[in-house]
Amino acid sequence: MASDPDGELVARVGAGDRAAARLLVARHVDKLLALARRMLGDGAEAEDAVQDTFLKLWTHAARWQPGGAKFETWLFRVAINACYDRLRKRGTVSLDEAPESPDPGLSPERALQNVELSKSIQAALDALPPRQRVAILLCHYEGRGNADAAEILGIGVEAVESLLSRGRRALRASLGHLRED
Amino acid sequence: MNDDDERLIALLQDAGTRDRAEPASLALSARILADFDAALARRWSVSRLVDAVWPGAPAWKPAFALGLSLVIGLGVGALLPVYGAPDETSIASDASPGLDFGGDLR
Repeated sequence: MASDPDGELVARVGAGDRAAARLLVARHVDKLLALARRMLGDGAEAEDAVQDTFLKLWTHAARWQPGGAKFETWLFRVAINACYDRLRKRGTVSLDEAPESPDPGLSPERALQNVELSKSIQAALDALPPRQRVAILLCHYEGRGNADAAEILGIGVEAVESLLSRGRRALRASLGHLRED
Repeated sequence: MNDDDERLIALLQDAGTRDRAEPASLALSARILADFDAALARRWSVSRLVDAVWPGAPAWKPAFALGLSLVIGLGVGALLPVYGAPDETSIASDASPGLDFGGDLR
């Protein structure tokens, strides 16, 4: 097994090394924040989720055991759980249930602009059940392999493939207005 | 995977690349590192206390000893009869004691 690129930094954080903490934050904060923004669709809430994720790291780093799960896998799992907690607190959706459909009112002309494109993608992602959303984000947005995503989510590879397939089908329907004719 | 899927994935990958290029705010990084400082300070204060109570012992030992003594104390307090309780047969007097000194005090 390849050695964990973050293992040494995590051990130093566990020993109270602030410089190591700063390096770990610099290495992971942008990725986690981008994922949390797409999961939650709200910048401020995403920042809170990422802050909670690192707080959990600070309290657990001293007990970190090298040789177990890869650190980044653990970190993403914590971040995703922090997002799930916030989605549950909103009280509107269960993790496997889809909320209301996205607004289909965007014209193709506006949607082709970058900002509007981003909004369209966000609306389509928001319409997915959270488990499908996170699978899509990990594999197609983050570019992780299915096995890696399965480990982060704590499920089997087949389950990830099923979530991806259903998620892509729903996204194709939601984003159909962006398709070139 | 069909062409539509491939187009969709390309769209999502582009969005991911754009999103990750937008860095987290300095304020967020500062908040996160402030949490690190606070967690570190808490950890040091706990470990200093543990070291004062039981030098060189891992944290669970003094915590276990404290918990055990608490359980024993509560058990003893709840199960043993209370000694020195007031005698229920004694009569409390509400009357003020007599202060008749038998004459005019002037």
